[in-house]
Amino acid sequence: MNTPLHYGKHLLSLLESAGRLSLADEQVNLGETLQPWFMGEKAVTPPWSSPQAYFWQRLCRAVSEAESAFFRFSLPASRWPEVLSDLEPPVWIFWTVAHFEAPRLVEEAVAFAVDATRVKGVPLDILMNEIALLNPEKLHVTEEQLQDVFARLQAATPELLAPRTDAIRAEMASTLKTELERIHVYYDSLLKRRAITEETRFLLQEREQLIHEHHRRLSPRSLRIHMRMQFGLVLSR
Amino acid sequence: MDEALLNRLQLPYRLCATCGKPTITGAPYCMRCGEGTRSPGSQAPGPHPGAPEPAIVPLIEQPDGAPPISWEIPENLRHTALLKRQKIIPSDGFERRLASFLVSAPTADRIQLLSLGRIPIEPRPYQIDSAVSILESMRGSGILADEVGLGKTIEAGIVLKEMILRDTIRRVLILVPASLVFQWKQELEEKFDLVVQEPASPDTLVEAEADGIHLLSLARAKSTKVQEALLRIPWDLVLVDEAHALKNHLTQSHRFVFSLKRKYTVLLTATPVQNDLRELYNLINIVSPGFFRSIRWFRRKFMVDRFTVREPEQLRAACARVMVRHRRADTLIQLPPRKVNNCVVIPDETESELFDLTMELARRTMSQLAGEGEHTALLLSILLKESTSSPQALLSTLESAVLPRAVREKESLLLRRVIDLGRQVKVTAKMRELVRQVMSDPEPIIVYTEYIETLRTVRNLLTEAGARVFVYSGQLRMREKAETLLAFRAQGGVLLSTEVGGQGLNLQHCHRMVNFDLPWNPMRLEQRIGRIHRFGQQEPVQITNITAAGTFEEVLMRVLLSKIRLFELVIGEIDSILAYLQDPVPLDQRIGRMILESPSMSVLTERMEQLAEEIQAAQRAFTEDQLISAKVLDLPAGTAPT
Repeated sequence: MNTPLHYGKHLLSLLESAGRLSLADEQVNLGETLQPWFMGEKAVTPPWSSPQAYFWQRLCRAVSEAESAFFRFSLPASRWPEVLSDLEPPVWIFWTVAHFEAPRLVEEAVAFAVDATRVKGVPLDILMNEIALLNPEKLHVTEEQLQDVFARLQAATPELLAPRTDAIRAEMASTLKTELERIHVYYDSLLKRRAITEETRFLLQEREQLIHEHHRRLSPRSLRIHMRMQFGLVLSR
Repeated sequence: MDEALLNRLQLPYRLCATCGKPTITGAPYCMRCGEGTRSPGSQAPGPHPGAPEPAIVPLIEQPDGAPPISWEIPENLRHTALLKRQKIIPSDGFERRLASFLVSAPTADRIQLLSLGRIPIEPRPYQIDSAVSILESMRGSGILADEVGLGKTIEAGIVLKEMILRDTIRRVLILVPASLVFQWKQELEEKFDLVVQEPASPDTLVEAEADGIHLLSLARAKSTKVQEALLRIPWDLVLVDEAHALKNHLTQSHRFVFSLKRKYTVLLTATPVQNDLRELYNLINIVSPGFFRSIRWFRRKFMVDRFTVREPEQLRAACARVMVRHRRADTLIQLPPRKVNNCVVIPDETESELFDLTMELARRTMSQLAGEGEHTALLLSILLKESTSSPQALLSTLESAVLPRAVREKESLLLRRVIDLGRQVKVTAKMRELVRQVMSDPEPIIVYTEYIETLRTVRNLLTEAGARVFVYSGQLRMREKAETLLAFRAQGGVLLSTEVGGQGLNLQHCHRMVNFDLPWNPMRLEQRIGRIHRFGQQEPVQITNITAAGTFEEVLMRVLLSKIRLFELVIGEIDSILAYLQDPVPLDQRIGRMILESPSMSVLTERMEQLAEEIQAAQRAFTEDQLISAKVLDLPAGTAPT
């Protein structure tokens, strides 16, 4: 059951074992630290079948506000994930959300792994299966190292996101074309067999303006991307 | 069309080399055939006039053609990464963090709204759904057409906040009925932390100064000079409340909004169809011109006659692509009933004389200062309202010499008599009734008054009677207000509040309320009721209105508020009904004028009845329109929405 709901229930049991909440039948009794996230409610019944519900969103937000944003671990060489095999430790892994400023709201979660020379995309649930083997480690990170990692990550992002960017731009171009066609059908119906009058002139100007506005909104050129980093770790062997 | 015609019309068109049709000179694409529309891998088009500004924080230069990318790296991540002491972080914290990210991570079919964590309200799930639909599947333009009272303003606020947070919009124009301007401003500020700009002279607004949220009444926006200025500015978002005002394509309102330069358009209305199915076409055409091809096509496809839909299922499915509509039944919001108790008390002789003489003083002042503008009417309205609230409130105004010197000199005898009577009346019949009401039931109760002097007097009386009293007014600091509410929730008793407590509070643990005096604006009355009659209320809500017999307040209650059944309306309904009134003057101002200009109570009663009939007509029109909209747009009751 590899769904958000599966992770939601896993998160609940983790919070229960950390003493932040307790489960009783279908109901969740919230501890004091979690209550402010639920309008002061002491007990709530989660929507067990819907991962998109507000309950999960609030719970996740509470965890992301309360837990650390950066971790340091080591992993035995024998359990080093296959996907990281071409990277040299220490490896930095960052979990981010990419927001594409397209005319419609498009957002995607992306995880990146960075070592001294390379940057690559990795599955979001990387290390989830190795969690029991992760050891807290004293790994020192200097300001320069961190800046260097960020700089390389930022430089590599356009290429890593290129397939998605192209797809979104293609969607924008196609939408632009469809909407322009609509505008033409509409104005053609209004302008059909009309003599040139002030009204015609007005309609033509109106059409021109609409088309400009559609270009302003839907032009693939207007796409921008905003990356929000959520949390990260440094991993050694 | 040929080149010669294009030149004659003086329009910046050229003929497309591929299709031979006119297209905009300098535009990177042919608006006819789309030739030149960039697809992945093709050459990037040149910039167009409306291309947005670069990203907020462009950290790195991108190779040619790649979109700008800005980064947001939280400070706590930098901080914990650089901890000098190499702090060991327990791995179970990481597991929780990773699990929570995997639950909430956005995917192609699941978006996370940034605004939800940044606003002080908790929107209902259907409101979030509406906002996401507008932002995602409708690409920022759509119609919010929920049934009345479901919080379309909240949905629009989320859309607005989300677009602003994502820097998708900078220039916003909000057009609302005149009666809702103040309410919109307040809601955007309090519920969404958005600052509204109120330009003193919108007619001089220019593009360079247009960044921000501009809130105007539609009537003001349509005035010639303002209209000209607004039409020149390329707006990012145009939002229109009570958008059924745009239903007729022949009206100036429709033409004006249609002509505004805008990237995104959001319309709010509970009644998208009123007299004619064409109105639905007109509204959708503003949001997405050409969505229904042409009116001829729409008629052929969907209309049997003005009121009858040919293919209802298809029309609903088409509308769902540009319109979000929730019915009350879909949202599971079933509030308990309201019980209204209109309590009329008999004032003693001194009190009655005080009311009559204050009324006389106000009328004489009005006639002396006729033509001096709204200021006088406003001042006298306050005086009259204070007279029915408490002698203490009245005296505080009269003794501070707010009346013009000429009036004070000319009416000195009358003024002195009013002040003498005010000093004689320590406890009014309304106050005695309030104490009786409060002490008759141990359940918590909220008492609203408009005036701080009344509040103080009533507080002393209730305390003497043995009630536990909490005071909530604008004189308290934020922390004190929060503490007062906490104490009231925990201990019960009486919460005595001025108008400050009439908005934004959640007091659904309490189900009793007293209006010790009545605001003349019905929306404010409804806002008071909304504090307790809201989601989470378990008990039937008891609303008690105390008025004194023989006063205009009693006429207001008996004739106007009762006749329009204000206290039985659904939350939000009164806003829509008042927007149907033809007279653009706000209702409280009309009531004030009516009271001041009526020579006797019988004339006042007659005029109040006329006003009630006018509102009832608006009410009927609104109800009919709701039914028509429901018939066209909603599935039969009990059917799940598609």
